[in-house]
Amino acid sequence: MERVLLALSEAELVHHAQHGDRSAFAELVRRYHTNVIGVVYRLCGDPDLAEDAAQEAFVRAWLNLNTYRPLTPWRNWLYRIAVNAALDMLRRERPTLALDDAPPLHSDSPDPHAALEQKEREDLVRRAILTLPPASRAVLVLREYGGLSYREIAEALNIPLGTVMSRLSSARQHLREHLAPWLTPQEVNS
Amino acid sequence: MSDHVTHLLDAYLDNELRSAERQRVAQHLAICAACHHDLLARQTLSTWIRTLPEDLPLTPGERFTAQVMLRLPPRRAATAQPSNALVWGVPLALLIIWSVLQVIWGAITWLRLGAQSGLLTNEAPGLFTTGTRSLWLALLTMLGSAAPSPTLQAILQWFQQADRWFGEWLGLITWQAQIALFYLIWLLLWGLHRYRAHPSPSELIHTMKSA
Repeated sequence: MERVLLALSEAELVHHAQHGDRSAFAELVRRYHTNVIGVVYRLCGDPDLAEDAAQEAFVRAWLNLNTYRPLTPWRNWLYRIAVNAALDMLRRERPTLALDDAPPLHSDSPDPHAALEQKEREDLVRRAILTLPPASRAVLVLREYGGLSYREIAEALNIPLGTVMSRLSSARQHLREHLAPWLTPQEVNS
Repeated sequence: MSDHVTHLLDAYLDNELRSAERQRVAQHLAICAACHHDLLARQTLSTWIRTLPEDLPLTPGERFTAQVMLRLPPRRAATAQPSNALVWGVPLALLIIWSVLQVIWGAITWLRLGAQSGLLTNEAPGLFTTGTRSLWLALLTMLGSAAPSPTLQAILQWFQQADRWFGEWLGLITWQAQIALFYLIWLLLWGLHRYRAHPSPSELIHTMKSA
């Protein structure tokens, strides 16, 4: 049975799941949980919260499968649910940023100084992203990490296209200001 | 350089501009060092965000899936609803209703005409129309009455019959054209509604800039 599921396309799995097939839905969870957790983690900055939000997102997806239209890419529909689940959790829990507890970031660079500098910069980028308002952060994460187009983000978050663009623009502006010392001509040109 | 394209750089970077606008920005970037540097900074920032390490302490996939499946409540299987059914469903329903009414009305009319004009005699019922509203028909009748030649009379009578038939069919075609027009208006309104909800990024940039 599992071998059959592995051979099914995403659209077929969704179709089976819409008709109540739990094993088809389990296969969808297997295929997409890493992406969903990745998006949610960048949104909330806490690994545990990200997994909880991702689980919640899949449960909501299961409950609302009948509202899914094949015209929309499944991934976008799932991201929409995941981002909303994460925003709900952020509203409820208001977690402290878990950056200090973040796993050590390894680098393949043989130069310890360069590796340290890269880690420092990555921490700064993470912190800067987490200082954004959640609504702007959601747009930025879906664009930069999820790779969604403006229109897809608008549909995913159910907001006008103009709002997507203004939130994305202000988020990037905010990040550029926060990371200005790092965005030196040498960094930019390297 | 006063004509900077700063407001377009994000959309340029995200490949959200139309080709003409994209070309215009590319041409400007080739000659404007300030905008070019601005673009490079945005690209760098974007790369930094996208390449943030993903070494999350993730729960193994099978365990995560099992945890999700344990949380799933039973759900009644239901078929997915058809998408955008309104776009074609409403006009189609109206068209079917209209067609049924037309068939009923047509049958009644033919029966009435048959009864009035002797359907079972040698006369063809279709020739007995009441299409005397046409100016063209009136003109033909007038000319036909005045024409002395029997050949011309025959031709004019043929035209008269043709005009009557045309009058009948014209009515039918007009109805169909009206239906087609209503359907087009329906589609246009639907499209306008969708367009207002999601205009293109380029148009929004222009709107925001001119506001």
